[in-house]
Amino acid sequence: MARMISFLGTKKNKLTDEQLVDGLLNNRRIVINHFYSEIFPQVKALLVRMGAKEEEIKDTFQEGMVALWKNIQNQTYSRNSNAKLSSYLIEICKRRWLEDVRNKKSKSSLAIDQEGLSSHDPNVLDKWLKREELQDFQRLFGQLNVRCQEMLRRFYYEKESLRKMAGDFSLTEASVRNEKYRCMQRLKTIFQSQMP
Amino acid sequence: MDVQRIEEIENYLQGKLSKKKQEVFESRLNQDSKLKEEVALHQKMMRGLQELSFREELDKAYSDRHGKSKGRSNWRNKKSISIAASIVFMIVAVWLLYPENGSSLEKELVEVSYDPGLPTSLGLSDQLDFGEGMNAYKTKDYKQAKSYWQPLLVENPSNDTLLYYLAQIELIEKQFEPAAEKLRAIGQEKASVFKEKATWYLAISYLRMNKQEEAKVLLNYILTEGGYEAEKAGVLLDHLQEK
Repeated sequence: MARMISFLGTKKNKLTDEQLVDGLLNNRRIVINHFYSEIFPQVKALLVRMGAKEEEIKDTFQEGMVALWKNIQNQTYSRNSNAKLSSYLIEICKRRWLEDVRNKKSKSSLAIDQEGLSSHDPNVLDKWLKREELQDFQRLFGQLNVRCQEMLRRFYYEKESLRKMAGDFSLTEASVRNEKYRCMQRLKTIFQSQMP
Repeated sequence: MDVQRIEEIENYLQGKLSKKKQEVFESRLNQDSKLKEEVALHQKMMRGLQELSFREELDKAYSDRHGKSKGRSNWRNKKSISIAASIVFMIVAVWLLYPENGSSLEKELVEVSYDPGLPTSLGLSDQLDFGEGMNAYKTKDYKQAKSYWQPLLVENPSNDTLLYYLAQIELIEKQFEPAAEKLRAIGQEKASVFKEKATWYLAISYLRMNKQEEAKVLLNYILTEGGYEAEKAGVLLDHLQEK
Protein backbone atom coordinates (compact mmCIF):
# COMPACT_ATOMS: atom_id res chain seq x y z
CA MET A 1 0.00 0.00 0.00
CA ALA A 2 2.88 2.31 0.62
CA ARG A 3 3.38 2.55 -3.10
CA MET A 4 -0.01 4.12 -3.51
CA ILE A 5 0.01 7.83 -3.84
CA SER A 6 -2.63 9.60 -1.86
CA PHE A 7 -5.27 11.11 -4.06
CA LEU A 8 -7.77 11.86 -1.37
CA GLY A 9 -7.30 15.54 -1.15
CA THR A 10 -6.99 16.83 -4.66
CA LYS A 11 -7.81 15.90 -8.19
CA LYS A 12 -4.27 16.52 -9.29
CA ASN A 13 -2.97 13.32 -7.79
CA LYS A 14 -4.56 10.74 -10.05
CA LEU A 15 -3.81 7.09 -9.57
CA THR A 16 -1.66 5.24 -12.04
CA ASP A 17 -3.04 2.23 -13.87
CA GLU A 18 -0.90 -0.02 -11.76
CA GLN A 19 -2.37 1.42 -8.61
CA LEU A 20 -5.89 1.01 -10.00
CA VAL A 21 -5.23 -2.61 -10.89
CA ASP A 22 -3.78 -3.31 -7.44
CA GLY A 23 -6.73 -1.58 -5.88
CA LEU A 24 -9.26 -3.68 -7.80
CA LEU A 25 -7.29 -6.84 -7.15
CA ASN A 26 -7.53 -6.14 -3.44
CA ASN A 27 -11.08 -4.77 -3.57
CA ARG A 28 -10.17 -1.41 -2.10
CA ARG A 29 -13.26 0.74 -1.71
CA ILE A 30 -11.29 3.90 -2.23
CA VAL A 31 -10.25 2.73 -5.69
CA ILE A 32 -13.79 1.70 -6.61
CA ASN A 33 -14.93 5.20 -5.66
CA HIS A 34 -12.17 6.60 -7.83
CA PHE A 35 -13.58 4.75 -10.87
CA TYR A 36 -16.96 6.31 -10.22
CA SER A 37 -15.57 9.79 -9.81
CA GLU A 38 -13.07 9.74 -12.67
CA ILE A 39 -14.16 7.26 -15.34
CA PHE A 40 -17.92 6.99 -14.93
CA PRO A 41 -18.47 10.57 -16.19
CA GLN A 42 -16.51 9.73 -19.36
CA VAL A 43 -18.55 6.58 -19.97
CA LYS A 44 -21.72 8.49 -19.26
CA ALA A 45 -20.85 11.22 -21.77
CA LEU A 46 -20.17 8.59 -24.42
CA LEU A 47 -23.28 6.50 -23.79
CA VAL A 48 -25.57 9.53 -23.60
CA ARG A 49 -24.43 10.37 -27.11
CA MET A 50 -25.30 6.80 -28.07
CA GLY A 51 -28.81 7.19 -26.70
CA ALA A 52 -28.54 5.45 -23.34
CA LYS A 53 -30.62 6.49 -20.35
CA GLU A 54 -29.27 7.05 -16.84
CA GLU A 55 -30.36 3.66 -15.50
CA GLU A 56 -28.94 1.88 -18.54
CA ILE A 57 -25.66 3.75 -18.17
CA LYS A 58 -25.47 2.76 -14.52
CA ASP A 59 -26.03 -0.92 -15.39
CA THR A 60 -23.65 -0.89 -18.33
CA PHE A 61 -20.90 0.70 -16.28
CA GLN A 62 -21.46 -1.74 -13.45
CA GLU A 63 -21.25 -4.71 -15.82
CA GLY A 64 -18.14 -3.20 -17.41
CA MET A 65 -16.57 -2.82 -13.97
CA VAL A 66 -17.43 -6.41 -13.10
CA ALA A 67 -15.90 -7.62 -16.37
CA LEU A 68 -12.71 -5.64 -15.75
CA TRP A 69 -12.56 -6.79 -12.13
CA LYS A 70 -12.96 -10.43 -13.17
CA ASN A 71 -10.16 -10.06 -15.68
CA ILE A 72 -7.96 -8.65 -12.98
CA GLN A 73 -8.94 -11.34 -10.48
CA ASN A 74 -8.27 -14.00 -13.12
CA GLN A 75 -5.00 -12.28 -13.90
CA THR A 76 -5.96 -12.16 -17.55
CA TYR A 77 -5.70 -8.39 -17.67
CA SER A 78 -2.26 -7.51 -18.86
CA ARG A 79 -0.71 -4.62 -16.99
CA ASN A 80 1.72 -4.12 -19.81
CA SER A 81 -0.86 -3.68 -22.49
CA ASN A 82 -0.55 -0.40 -24.32
CA ALA A 83 -4.10 0.71 -23.70
CA LYS A 84 -4.77 2.83 -20.67
CA LEU A 85 -7.00 1.16 -18.13
CA SER A 86 -9.64 3.88 -18.49
CA SER A 87 -9.73 3.44 -22.29
CA TYR A 88 -10.00 -0.30 -21.80
CA LEU A 89 -12.96 0.06 -19.45
CA ILE A 90 -14.65 2.61 -21.70
CA GLU A 91 -14.26 0.21 -24.62
CA ILE A 92 -15.79 -2.66 -22.63
CA CYS A 93 -18.76 -0.46 -21.70
CA LYS A 94 -19.22 0.71 -25.27
CA ARG A 95 -19.22 -2.83 -26.61
CA ARG A 96 -21.62 -4.01 -23.92
CA TRP A 97 -24.00 -1.19 -24.72
CA LEU A 98 -23.91 -1.92 -28.45
CA GLU A 99 -24.49 -5.57 -27.74
CA ASP A 100 -27.42 -4.75 -25.45
CA VAL A 101 -28.98 -2.60 -28.14
CA ARG A 102 -28.44 -5.32 -30.74
CA ASN A 103 -29.95 -7.96 -28.44
CA LYS A 104 -32.97 -5.81 -27.72
CA LYS A 105 -33.51 -5.20 -31.40
CA SER A 106 -33.19 -8.78 -32.49
CA LYS A 107 -34.70 -10.04 -29.24
CA SER A 108 -32.13 -12.75 -29.42
CA SER A 109 -30.92 -14.37 -26.25
CA LEU A 110 -27.28 -14.38 -27.18
CA ALA A 111 -25.18 -14.70 -24.09
CA ILE A 112 -23.09 -11.65 -23.42
CA ASP A 113 -19.44 -12.27 -22.98
CA GLN A 114 -18.99 -11.73 -19.27
CA GLU A 115 -15.29 -11.34 -19.67
CA GLY A 116 -15.55 -8.38 -21.98
CA LEU A 117 -12.43 -8.17 -24.08
CA SER A 118 -10.82 -11.21 -22.55
CA SER A 119 -9.19 -13.59 -24.95
CA HIS A 120 -8.52 -15.93 -22.06
CA ASP A 121 -9.75 -19.48 -22.43
CA PRO A 122 -11.05 -20.39 -19.01
CA ASN A 123 -10.50 -23.92 -17.79
CA VAL A 124 -13.02 -25.84 -15.76
CA LEU A 125 -11.86 -24.37 -12.48
CA ASP A 126 -11.79 -20.84 -13.70
CA LYS A 127 -15.46 -20.05 -14.07
CA TRP A 128 -17.53 -17.46 -12.34
CA LEU A 129 -21.13 -17.98 -11.33
CA LYS A 130 -23.71 -17.27 -13.98
CA ARG A 131 -26.01 -14.35 -13.35
CA GLU A 132 -28.93 -16.51 -12.15
CA GLU A 133 -26.58 -18.61 -10.04
CA LEU A 134 -25.29 -15.47 -8.38
CA GLN A 135 -28.84 -14.42 -7.53
CA ASP A 136 -29.41 -17.82 -5.94
CA PHE A 137 -26.12 -17.50 -4.14
CA GLN A 138 -27.14 -14.12 -2.76
CA ARG A 139 -30.35 -15.62 -1.37
CA LEU A 140 -28.53 -18.58 0.18
CA PHE A 141 -25.74 -16.42 1.61
CA GLY A 142 -28.45 -14.40 3.32
CA GLN A 143 -29.43 -17.52 5.23
CA LEU A 144 -26.14 -17.49 7.13
CA ASN A 145 -26.11 -15.64 10.41
CA VAL A 146 -24.80 -12.09 10.28
CA ARG A 147 -21.58 -12.90 12.09
CA CYS A 148 -20.74 -15.65 9.59
CA GLN A 149 -21.55 -13.35 6.70
CA GLU A 150 -19.24 -10.71 8.09
CA MET A 151 -16.43 -13.16 8.75
CA LEU A 152 -16.55 -14.63 5.26
CA ARG A 153 -16.85 -11.26 3.60
CA ARG A 154 -13.93 -9.84 5.52
CA PHE A 155 -11.71 -12.80 4.85
CA TYR A 156 -12.58 -13.61 1.24
CA TYR A 157 -13.56 -10.22 -0.13
CA GLU A 158 -11.74 -7.64 1.93
CA LYS A 159 -8.81 -10.03 2.28
CA GLU A 160 -8.28 -9.18 5.89
CA SER A 161 -5.67 -11.12 7.79
CA LEU A 162 -6.63 -13.57 10.52
CA ARG A 163 -4.69 -11.38 12.92
CA LYS A 164 -6.72 -8.28 12.15
CA MET A 165 -9.98 -10.21 12.36
CA ALA A 166 -8.89 -11.76 15.64
CA GLY A 167 -8.42 -8.27 17.06
CA ASP A 168 -11.78 -7.03 15.83
CA PHE A 169 -13.73 -10.09 16.94
CA SER A 170 -11.80 -10.36 20.22
CA LEU A 171 -10.79 -13.93 19.42
CA THR A 172 -7.51 -15.75 18.99
CA GLU A 173 -6.30 -16.27 15.45
CA ALA A 174 -6.90 -20.00 15.81
CA SER A 175 -10.52 -19.39 16.82
CA VAL A 176 -11.08 -17.08 13.87
CA ARG A 177 -9.60 -19.70 11.58
CA ASN A 178 -11.92 -22.39 12.94
CA GLU A 179 -14.99 -20.21 12.99
CA LYS A 180 -14.41 -19.00 9.46
CA TYR A 181 -14.00 -22.61 8.38
CA ARG A 182 -17.27 -23.62 10.04
CA CYS A 183 -19.06 -20.70 8.39
CA MET A 184 -17.78 -21.74 4.99
CA GLN A 185 -18.88 -25.33 5.63
CA ARG A 186 -22.33 -24.09 6.61
CA LEU A 187 -22.56 -22.05 3.43
CA LYS A 188 -21.59 -25.07 1.35
CA THR A 189 -24.16 -27.23 3.10
CA ILE A 190 -26.89 -24.66 2.47
CA PHE A 191 -25.80 -24.33 -1.14
CA GLN A 192 -25.69 -28.07 -1.78
CA SER A 193 -28.99 -28.79 -0.06
CA GLN A 194 -30.90 -26.09 -1.91
CA MET A 195 -29.33 -25.93 -5.32
CA PRO A 196 -30.51 -28.38 -7.95
CA MET B 1 -7.32 -31.69 9.56
CA ASP B 2 -10.26 -30.47 7.55
CA VAL B 3 -9.24 -26.86 8.07
CA GLN B 4 -5.83 -27.68 6.66
CA ARG B 5 -7.32 -29.40 3.65
CA ILE B 6 -9.47 -26.37 2.89
CA GLU B 7 -6.53 -24.05 3.33
CA GLU B 8 -4.52 -26.10 0.89
CA ILE B 9 -7.36 -25.82 -1.60
CA GLU B 10 -7.50 -22.07 -1.00
CA ASN B 11 -3.78 -21.67 -1.47
CA TYR B 12 -4.03 -23.58 -4.71
CA LEU B 13 -6.92 -21.47 -5.96
CA GLN B 14 -5.14 -18.28 -5.06
CA GLY B 15 -1.93 -19.39 -6.74
CA LYS B 16 -0.03 -19.32 -3.47
CA LEU B 17 1.53 -22.78 -3.76
CA SER B 18 5.09 -23.14 -4.94
CA LYS B 19 5.44 -24.46 -8.45
CA LYS B 20 6.36 -27.88 -7.23
CA LYS B 21 3.53 -28.11 -4.70
CA GLN B 22 1.13 -26.90 -7.34
CA GLU B 23 2.16 -29.69 -9.69
CA VAL B 24 1.75 -32.27 -6.95
CA PHE B 25 -1.68 -30.85 -6.10
CA GLU B 26 -2.76 -30.89 -9.72
CA SER B 27 -1.76 -34.48 -10.22
CA ARG B 28 -3.78 -35.38 -7.12
CA LEU B 29 -6.64 -33.36 -8.56
CA ASN B 30 -6.60 -35.39 -11.75
CA GLN B 31 -6.78 -38.65 -9.89
CA ASP B 32 -9.16 -37.75 -7.11
CA SER B 33 -12.62 -36.79 -8.34
CA LYS B 34 -13.84 -36.04 -4.82
CA LEU B 35 -11.02 -33.53 -4.35
CA LYS B 36 -11.86 -32.01 -7.69
CA GLU B 37 -15.47 -31.53 -6.64
CA GLU B 38 -14.37 -29.97 -3.38
CA VAL B 39 -12.10 -27.53 -5.17
CA ALA B 40 -14.84 -26.60 -7.62
CA LEU B 41 -17.36 -26.04 -4.83
CA HIS B 42 -14.92 -24.02 -2.78
CA GLN B 43 -14.09 -21.86 -5.73
CA LYS B 44 -17.75 -21.33 -6.45
CA MET B 45 -18.36 -20.14 -2.90
CA MET B 46 -15.34 -17.86 -2.90
CA ARG B 47 -16.22 -16.34 -6.23
CA GLY B 48 -19.90 -15.98 -5.38
CA LEU B 49 -18.96 -14.20 -2.19
CA GLN B 50 -16.45 -11.97 -3.92
CA GLU B 51 -18.67 -11.01 -6.82
CA LEU B 52 -21.66 -10.40 -4.59
CA SER B 53 -19.59 -8.14 -2.34
CA PHE B 54 -18.02 -6.35 -5.29
CA ARG B 55 -21.42 -5.66 -6.86
CA GLU B 56 -22.68 -4.33 -3.55
CA GLU B 57 -19.69 -2.01 -3.37
CA LEU B 58 -20.42 -0.78 -6.88
CA ASP B 59 -24.02 -0.04 -5.96
CA LYS B 60 -22.83 1.81 -2.90
CA ALA B 61 -20.26 3.81 -4.84
CA TYR B 62 -22.88 4.77 -7.41
CA SER B 63 -25.50 5.83 -4.91
CA ASP B 64 -22.92 7.72 -2.86
CA ARG B 65 -22.32 9.89 -5.89
CA HIS B 66 -25.81 10.07 -7.30
CA GLY B 67 -28.23 9.42 -4.51
CA LYS B 68 -27.39 10.96 -1.21
CA SER B 69 -25.14 13.71 -2.46
CA LYS B 70 -27.94 16.05 -3.50
CA GLY B 71 -29.02 17.54 -0.20
CA ARG B 72 -25.64 18.02 1.29
CA SER B 73 -25.22 21.71 0.91
CA ASN B 74 -24.18 24.16 3.58
CA TRP B 75 -27.33 23.88 5.61
CA ARG B 76 -25.54 25.01 8.71
CA ASN B 77 -24.97 28.55 7.55
CA LYS B 78 -25.41 30.51 10.75
CA LYS B 79 -27.27 33.42 9.21
CA SER B 80 -29.93 31.33 7.55
CA ILE B 81 -31.15 29.23 10.41
CA SER B 82 -34.85 28.79 9.91
CA ILE B 83 -37.55 28.30 12.48
CA ALA B 84 -37.79 24.67 11.46
CA ALA B 85 -34.12 24.22 12.14
CA SER B 86 -34.49 25.85 15.53
CA ILE B 87 -37.14 23.31 16.38
CA VAL B 88 -34.74 20.54 15.40
CA PHE B 89 -32.18 22.15 17.66
CA MET B 90 -34.66 22.12 20.51
CA ILE B 91 -35.29 18.43 20.02
CA VAL B 92 -31.58 17.75 20.01
CA ALA B 93 -31.17 19.90 23.08
CA VAL B 94 -33.90 18.04 24.91
CA TRP B 95 -32.38 14.77 23.92
CA LEU B 96 -28.98 15.81 25.19
CA LEU B 97 -30.46 16.61 28.55
CA TYR B 98 -32.76 13.60 28.71
CA PRO B 99 -30.74 10.99 26.86
CA GLU B 100 -33.13 8.13 27.48
CA ASN B 101 -35.68 9.76 25.20
CA GLY B 102 -33.97 9.80 21.87
CA SER B 103 -31.48 8.42 19.45
CA SER B 104 -30.72 11.30 17.15
CA LEU B 105 -27.17 11.95 18.31
CA GLU B 106 -25.65 9.59 15.80
CA LYS B 107 -27.43 11.26 12.90
CA GLU B 108 -26.46 14.65 14.24
CA LEU B 109 -22.81 13.73 14.61
CA VAL B 110 -22.42 12.04 11.28
CA GLU B 111 -24.21 14.73 9.34
CA VAL B 112 -22.55 17.74 10.83
CA SER B 113 -19.14 16.22 10.59
CA TYR B 114 -19.34 15.23 6.98
CA ASP B 115 -16.50 17.49 5.92
CA PRO B 116 -13.42 15.40 6.52
CA GLY B 117 -10.17 17.25 6.43
CA LEU B 118 -7.11 15.39 5.38
CA PRO B 119 -4.46 14.80 8.00
CA THR B 120 -1.65 15.98 5.81
CA SER B 121 0.89 15.38 8.51
CA LEU B 122 0.51 11.64 7.97
CA GLY B 123 2.67 9.65 5.61
CA LEU B 124 1.25 8.58 2.26
CA SER B 125 0.32 5.05 3.17
CA ASP B 126 -1.17 6.25 6.45
CA GLN B 127 -3.26 8.75 4.52
CA LEU B 128 -4.63 5.94 2.46
CA ASP B 129 -5.56 4.00 5.58
CA PHE B 130 -7.10 7.16 6.95
CA GLY B 131 -9.17 7.41 3.77
CA GLU B 132 -10.33 3.80 4.10
CA GLY B 133 -11.33 4.58 7.66
CA MET B 134 -13.25 7.62 6.48
CA ASN B 135 -15.12 5.53 3.94
CA ALA B 136 -16.10 3.11 6.67
CA TYR B 137 -17.07 6.02 8.93
CA LYS B 138 -19.34 7.51 6.30
CA THR B 139 -21.14 4.21 5.91
CA LYS B 140 -21.44 4.03 9.69
CA ASP B 141 -19.15 1.04 9.91
CA TYR B 142 -17.52 2.45 13.01
CA LYS B 143 -15.82 -0.75 14.02
CA GLN B 144 -14.05 -0.85 10.72
CA ALA B 145 -13.20 2.86 10.88
CA LYS B 146 -11.65 2.35 14.30
CA SER B 147 -9.62 -0.57 13.06
CA TYR B 148 -7.96 1.80 10.58
CA TRP B 149 -7.64 4.82 12.80
CA GLN B 150 -6.64 3.45 16.17
CA PRO B 151 -3.27 2.12 14.99
CA LEU B 152 -2.64 5.45 13.27
CA LEU B 153 -3.35 7.30 16.50
CA VAL B 154 -0.85 5.16 18.38
CA GLU B 155 1.80 6.39 15.97
CA ASN B 156 0.48 9.95 15.81
CA PRO B 157 -0.95 10.55 19.29
CA SER B 158 -1.48 14.28 18.86
CA ASN B 159 -2.95 14.22 15.35
CA ASP B 160 -6.06 16.35 15.71
CA THR B 161 -7.95 14.80 12.78
CA LEU B 162 -7.61 11.31 14.20
CA LEU B 163 -8.45 12.50 17.70
CA TYR B 164 -11.52 14.29 16.41
CA TYR B 165 -13.02 11.47 14.36
CA LEU B 166 -12.24 8.77 16.90
CA ALA B 167 -13.91 10.97 19.51
CA GLN B 168 -16.97 11.21 17.24
CA ILE B 169 -17.22 7.44 17.12
CA GLU B 170 -16.84 7.19 20.88
CA LEU B 171 -19.64 9.72 21.31
CA ILE B 172 -21.87 7.66 19.06
CA GLU B 173 -20.94 4.57 21.04
CA LYS B 174 -21.66 6.48 24.25
CA GLN B 175 -18.10 6.18 25.52
CA PHE B 176 -17.99 9.68 26.86
CA GLU B 177 -14.91 9.49 29.06
CA PRO B 178 -12.43 8.56 26.31
CA ALA B 179 -14.19 10.89 23.89
CA ALA B 180 -13.78 13.80 26.30
CA GLU B 181 -10.13 12.95 26.79
CA LYS B 182 -9.49 13.15 23.04
CA LEU B 183 -11.49 16.34 22.65
CA ARG B 184 -9.53 17.98 25.47
CA ALA B 185 -6.32 16.98 23.71
CA ILE B 186 -7.52 18.82 20.60
CA GLY B 187 -8.19 21.88 22.77
CA GLN B 188 -4.56 21.90 23.76
CA GLU B 189 -3.40 22.12 20.17
CA LYS B 190 -2.86 25.77 19.38
CA ALA B 191 -4.00 25.97 15.79
CA SER B 192 -6.29 23.02 15.25
CA VAL B 193 -9.09 23.51 12.74
CA PHE B 194 -11.12 21.15 14.89
CA LYS B 195 -10.81 23.26 18.00
CA GLU B 196 -14.23 24.93 17.80
CA LYS B 197 -16.05 21.73 17.01
CA ALA B 198 -14.13 19.87 19.69
CA THR B 199 -15.29 22.44 22.25
CA TRP B 200 -18.91 21.85 21.33
CA TYR B 201 -18.63 18.10 21.48
CA LEU B 202 -16.72 18.28 24.72
CA ALA B 203 -19.64 20.21 26.16
CA ILE B 204 -21.96 17.45 24.96
CA SER B 205 -19.71 14.83 26.55
CA TYR B 206 -19.80 16.65 29.86
CA LEU B 207 -23.57 16.85 29.73
CA ARG B 208 -23.83 13.15 29.09
CA MET B 209 -21.48 12.46 31.99
CA ASN B 210 -23.63 14.67 34.22
CA LYS B 211 -20.86 17.22 34.58
CA GLN B 212 -23.21 20.12 34.10
CA GLU B 213 -21.01 22.82 35.60
CA GLU B 214 -18.13 22.01 33.26
CA ALA B 215 -20.58 21.89 30.37
CA LYS B 216 -22.01 25.30 31.26
CA VAL B 217 -18.58 26.90 31.26
CA LEU B 218 -17.93 25.60 27.77
CA LEU B 219 -21.39 26.47 26.45
CA ASN B 220 -21.04 30.00 27.77
CA TYR B 221 -17.71 30.27 26.08
CA ILE B 222 -19.16 29.00 22.78
CA LEU B 223 -22.09 31.40 23.04
CA THR B 224 -20.03 34.48 23.84
CA GLU B 225 -17.31 33.71 21.34
CA GLY B 226 -19.82 32.84 18.62
CA GLY B 227 -18.16 29.46 18.24
CA TYR B 228 -19.36 26.34 16.48
CA GLU B 229 -23.06 25.67 17.23
CA ALA B 230 -23.40 28.88 19.22
CA GLU B 231 -27.19 28.84 18.69
CA LYS B 232 -27.53 25.36 20.05
CA ALA B 233 -25.30 26.30 22.95
CA GLY B 234 -27.73 29.09 23.79
CA VAL B 235 -30.72 26.76 23.70
CA LEU B 236 -28.92 24.27 25.90
CA LEU B 237 -27.93 26.94 28.41
CA ASP B 238 -31.53 28.13 28.67
CA HIS B 239 -32.61 24.58 29.41
CA LEU B 240 -29.89 24.15 31.99
CA GLN B 241 -30.86 27.37 33.78
CA GLU B 242 -34.50 26.27 33.93
CA LYS B 243 -33.74 22.90 35.44
